[in-house]
Order: sequence, then C-alpha cells, then structure tokens
Amino acid sequence: MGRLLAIEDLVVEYPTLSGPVLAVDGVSLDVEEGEWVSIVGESGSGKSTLATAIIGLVPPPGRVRRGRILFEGVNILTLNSRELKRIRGRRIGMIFQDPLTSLDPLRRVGDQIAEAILEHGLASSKREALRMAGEALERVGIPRDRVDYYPHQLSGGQRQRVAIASAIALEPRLLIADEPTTALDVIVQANIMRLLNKLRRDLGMSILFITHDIALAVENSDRIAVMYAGKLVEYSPTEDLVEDPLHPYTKGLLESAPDLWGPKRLYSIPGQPPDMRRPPRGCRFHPRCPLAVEECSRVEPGTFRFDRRVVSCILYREGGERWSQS
Amino acid sequence: MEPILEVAGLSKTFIQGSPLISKILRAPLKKVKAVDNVSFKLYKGETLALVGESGSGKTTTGRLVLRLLEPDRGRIYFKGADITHMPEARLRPLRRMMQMIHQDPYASLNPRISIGKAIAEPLVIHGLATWSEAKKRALEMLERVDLIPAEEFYDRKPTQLSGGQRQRVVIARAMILKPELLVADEAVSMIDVSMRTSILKLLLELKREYGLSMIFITHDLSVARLIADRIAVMYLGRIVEIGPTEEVLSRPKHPYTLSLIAAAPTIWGRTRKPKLRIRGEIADPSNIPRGCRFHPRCPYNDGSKCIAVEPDLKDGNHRVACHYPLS
Repeated sequence: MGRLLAIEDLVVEYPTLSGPVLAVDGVSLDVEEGEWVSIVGESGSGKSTLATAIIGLVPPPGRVRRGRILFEGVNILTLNSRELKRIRGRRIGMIFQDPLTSLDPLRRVGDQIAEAILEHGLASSKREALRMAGEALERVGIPRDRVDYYPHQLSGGQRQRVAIASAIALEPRLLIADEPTTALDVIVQANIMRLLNKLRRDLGMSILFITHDIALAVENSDRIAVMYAGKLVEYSPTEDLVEDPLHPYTKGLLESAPDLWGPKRLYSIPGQPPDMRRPPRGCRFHPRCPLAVEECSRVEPGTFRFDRRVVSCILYREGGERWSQS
Repeated sequence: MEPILEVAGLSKTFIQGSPLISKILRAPLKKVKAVDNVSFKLYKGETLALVGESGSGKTTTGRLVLRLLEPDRGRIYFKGADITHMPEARLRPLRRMMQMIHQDPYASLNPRISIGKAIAEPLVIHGLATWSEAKKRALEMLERVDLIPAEEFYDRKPTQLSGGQRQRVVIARAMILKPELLVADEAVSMIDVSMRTSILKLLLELKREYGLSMIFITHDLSVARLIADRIAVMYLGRIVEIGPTEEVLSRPKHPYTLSLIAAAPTIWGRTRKPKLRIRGEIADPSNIPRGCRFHPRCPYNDGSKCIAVEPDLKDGNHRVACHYPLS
C-alpha cells in the first residue's frame, strides 16, 4: 500500500478580535491507499477545519499559515484554483453532515451528478453522463429511475445516499466524510456505514471520516486520529487504540462514551474544553488530565512515534514514565 | 405503589400545511398522527426512558404529559388528579411541580440575562420568594450543579459558558422549583461526549436527593441504559415495547428494539452484538402503514396477520406489541 495523503505540520488560523485562533495547530497525519482513517474530536477540536484544508476550502477569513498537504505526491497548498478544482471531485470526493450542502435543492439529482461527470470530461455526451449518474445511484442502493427526483422528494437517508453517489461518481481516490451520519437516525446510520464500507472495497478508495463518535470510528476504521483543541494527540491503529490507549484524553474518551456493551459506569473527563481564544499553555489537555505534572502546564509535549503509533504526551518521551512500555 | 403520573390512550394529530394553499391546490391537508393511543404509568422516584427515532412521537408525548400541548384523546393523571383538561388557573400550582429540560442549552437561555438571574427568576415568577431570597437560593443551586465559585458564576452570561455548563444552568433553573416530575428531552444529545456522562450523573443525583420522577426522552439506547429504570420503545406514535431496562436490552421482544440494539455503534460489543439489518426508514407519520406499523421494515413480517392486524401491547411486566415476539 502506498501513501495517498500526507499532511505535514499543518497550521490553520482564524483571525479574531483577540488575536489569531489556531484551529489546527501543527498536525501531521497520513492516509494510505485503500485505508479508512477516522478523525475523532469534540466540538472545537479542529477536525472539520482540517478536512476543509485538505480540499483547499478553508472558509475565509481562515487561512493556512504553515505546513504541507501532499496528495498523490503534490502539495495541494501550492495549486491554483483551476488545478485544485481538477482534484476536487475528481480525485477527492466530499460528503457533509447536511447532504444539501453539496446538493442543489432546485435541480434533479441525476442532472447534478451528470454535470460533475461532464465537467471532468468523463463522458462525451449528456446522455452518457446521465447513464453514468444512474449507475452511481444504483451503486448506493437508489433505483436508477430516481435520477429525475428532486432532493426534497427523498428521505434524509436517501439524500445522503445521493450525496455519496455524487461524491463517488468520478471514482475518487479519497472520500472525505465530515459527520455524514450525525443528522440521521441510528438504523439509517448503520446502513450508510455499511454502504461506505462496501464502496471502499469496490472502488479501492481511501476514506477520511470525521466524527465526534468514537464508537462509530472504532467500528469502521483501520486507524484513528484523536484531536483535542487543534492538536493531534494520538494516531494509532484501531485495535491498539482500544486495547491500549496511549494518550490520557483517548483513554478518557473511550471510558466516557456510553456503550450498550461496556461496563455500566458514569465516567466523564473532568473540566471543560478550552476556550480556543485563550488555550492553556503547555499541553492543551493538562487542566483536565488526571496524570498531569507541573511540567505539562509549561512545556508543549513533543510528538513521539512507536511503530505505527503516534502520541503527543510527555509520559512517552525518552526516559519518561511510559517510554519503556512502548 | 401509586403512580405519580398515568397516561391512558393518549393521542395527538397535527395538521400540516397551510389551509389556504390546500384550498388553492385542492389538496387535502396532511394529518400527522404524532402520538397514537399511548398509555403508561410513571412511579414515584422512577426514571422512564422514551426511546425512538425522529418521528416516533417521543417528544410530543413529553409535551402532552406536561400540558404544553392539548391531546385529542386520552387522559393524563398527575398525582391522582385528572389534568387532561384542567383550566390553566387551576393547573398553575401544579405546573411548578412539572418541569422540562430541552435538548438545546443554547436556545433555552436568554443570552442577555445573567445565569444567576435566570435560575432565580422562576421563584419570583411563581411568587415563592423575593429577589433577595431567590438570589440566595440560586447561589445554593449553582453550587449544587458544580458551577463553582457560585458568586462568580451568578453574574456570567450564557455565552461565557461551555455547552455542558449551560445545560447545568438549565437543570438548576428547573430544579429550583423542587419539581416532582421532570421531563428531560434529549438533555445530553448536544453535549460533547467527554461531559455527557457528568450531566447524566448530576440528573441521577438530583433525582435521588429530591425524590424526583423522570421521563427521559432520548434516541440513544446506550444513554437510556445508564439512567433509566424502565425503557419504553416508541415507533410511529406507539409504544411497541416497554419493560425494565436490563430486560429490554438483554432480551428484547420487539424486532424493532433488536434492530436499534444492533445498529447502536459500540466499542466493547463489536463481536457480541446481534446482527439484524433493517431496511428503509421510518414511514411518513401522515401515512402510517396498516396492521403492525413496523411491518414494511420487519424481517419477520408474515405477509398476512402482520399487514392486517395491529398488535396490542400484551400485559405483563415486560410488554410488547408484536404478533411474533422474540424470545
């Protein structure tokens, strides 16, 4: 498996009246061909900002201050808007929580998918493009004759399926999915997750899945990246992360998630997520961390790598408390 | 044991759309049966979770119980009194004993009013205290919900708080009237995971301290498991299964309950959880399927009785409305 996406030391900032807010603060992360990577974080963690940066769509006035985003070896941040457009949709597809973000409510769904196919020169006629749109719909479990439907004639789950059909019609190498099931009922969510897994296998594409739901990430991912207050705190293969979470925040998230099959306990991480206009000095998590020592409030932890695992916590530095275990 | 709340045959239909447009287009108005013949009892000190997907009627049931909506049919008894059509003047003293917490702590608080005032206000409105007494009680309440130091929090505005802290304010405001019945509608759904269980814990503690009875409305079975004594699963306006929490979760009798359990994302049950795939989505409540309303999605649909005869909730401790209950 080759590397499809590599994000290196990415910093995305938003100017505010009280100075720049670093929504994404020095994040490095890679995704391999065919791999499912989930980014897990709570509100304000920077997970969605990271996703928009990958497709060059950080909403203004936000901007990338530093870093590289290598997709198929090309740094996306150096591309002009025409070059970006060629990658977006064609090589990288995207779906959102609200399918109407990517669907036009006033146009037939088939026309919308066909237009993207024509735009990228993958069909020579409108007719052929519409036929391909029908195929894309079938692939997501929607009858081909629905090409003539408008989005409002479909249920929420079907709309998300159409958005997925539109995102995968051009057989992208990477699908970025930003909380695509958050607005859906749990049974519909399970069906959409099954669909995404099937499409990944059929098309051999990679998926970058953004979610606040760590259980959903655990059930579906090869690797999980955990973000907290703009920082990547841990990046590990799923089984390792569940069996032996390295970062205290990862451990807290796993233990606080209500789970039908887990122990019946009421654990929660103490404290509140930080105000990103004034993030804590040192480790962003130290005010809530049960293992924090004095140094955590002064020094930003470095990033430590073991095999396929990455953690940002001083417990794991050379000679640190947990170093020998890793 | 006497129930604190009893509802019998509760029904509510909403008319959807504009009468004028309907006249112009000569299309009949849509009638949405949100709640259809719902009956249950809530005992003192008990928490009953109403669980279901959107469109199941769980929120409408909660609002009917508190007389925030008028039912079309059925009866509501609160502490033995029939409050179904009780006039507002007589209802007012009872209103204090029935409080509601909403899903969105951002929408439930006035951004211009300090949180201390927001908590104290109900006492003054109900004529139970002067402002200075109310302030003292509000400070105690702030402390109780862990917004400490209370004096400092009293003057803060909602925008200065996190989502979890705001929900604590909303809870404090509901609890300051010492209610006997609390309806919590998706009270933790919008709270970040790391703080969600702390809100559940607070509700459980307050419930014990105040001898509170609670209706906890949620779409999330794993949350219901942590807080409820009994679970009622709703589907398209009906209760399809009701019983003790552990019973319903470990031995579900309705295929719909089983499918909710199978669909819930899990970290610890990935190899153990049942596999049952349900197709499609909840039907349009303005066009409820005949017979068992779950039959179009049910893998055990027999094609005859299920599509013709509506199953009733069978009697017992763990009740189910299904012609072929799972064992």
